[in-house]
Amino acid sequence: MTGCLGDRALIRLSEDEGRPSERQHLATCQLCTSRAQALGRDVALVATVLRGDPPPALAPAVTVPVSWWVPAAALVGAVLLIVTWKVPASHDDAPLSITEVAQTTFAVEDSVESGVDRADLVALDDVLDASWDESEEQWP
Amino acid sequence: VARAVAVANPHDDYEALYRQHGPRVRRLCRLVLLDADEAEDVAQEVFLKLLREHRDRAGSVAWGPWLTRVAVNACRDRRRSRWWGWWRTSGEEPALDGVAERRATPEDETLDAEHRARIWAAFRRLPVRQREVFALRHVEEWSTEDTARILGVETGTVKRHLFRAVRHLRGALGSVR
Repeated sequence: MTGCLGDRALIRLSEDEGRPSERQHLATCQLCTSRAQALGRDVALVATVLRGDPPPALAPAVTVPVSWWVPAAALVGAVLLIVTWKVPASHDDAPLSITEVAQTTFAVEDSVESGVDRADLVALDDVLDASWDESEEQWP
Repeated sequence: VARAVAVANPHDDYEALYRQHGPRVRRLCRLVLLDADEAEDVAQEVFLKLLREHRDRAGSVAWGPWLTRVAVNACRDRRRSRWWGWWRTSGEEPALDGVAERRATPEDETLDAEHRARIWAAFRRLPVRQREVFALRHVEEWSTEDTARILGVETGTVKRHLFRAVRHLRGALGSVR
């Protein structure tokens, strides 16, 4: 039958409310009458179950309800991480003394290990120390 | 609490009020809070309030609606309390031992445990306001107007929540019927 009542109207009518036209339809429509009766039975059944003993308890599960504070806490955590983040101290920009430069640049022992002739290195040291006599030795 | 009430007021009807409304208040708290221990605490708070209130207003109050309203508000306070939302047991159906007030009906007997569990699960999934409305209107059988008064809302709001609750619960019944 066309123009049958919706669930909302049936619930309204079950509360002794609803429009006169809905009430009139309910009185004449067998389908809506049986739907209204089914609604009443369902509600009564649920209420009966809720009034009575529940089924055996399921295993309790502890849950943490996810709410607004979860993303907020994540944001605060991220900010703290960024603020407190420390890049390992770099010494690249530290000023070096001239001695350190010289020792590094003219590290005789390192040079020997790399295969440079030791006699040449000694001569080089002498030049740097300004004790080399140009007349005594010729460069190849 | 009942003993305290009786000792404090041996000649009046506190104990009778406790006996009459105690199981109902406990059941309502359990349906709203879905936690048996919390519900028991809240129910005790409610009857302690009754103890204080009854001294001053004995005979001038309809205690049934008063207790229901106080119980609903106490449940709301408990839910709002700081720790309520943090950790609580879920997945456990509220234990209603001692609350059931009627014998098993033929309808009960046709419903097996699985179907009951399904109905309970559907009820647990309802938003709290819909649970309150359904419990008051259909489990406690208050009128729509009384339900609205107890909850402090308009009757239209009660109807709206009731419609949603019934629709949801009927959905859960689909495979039971």
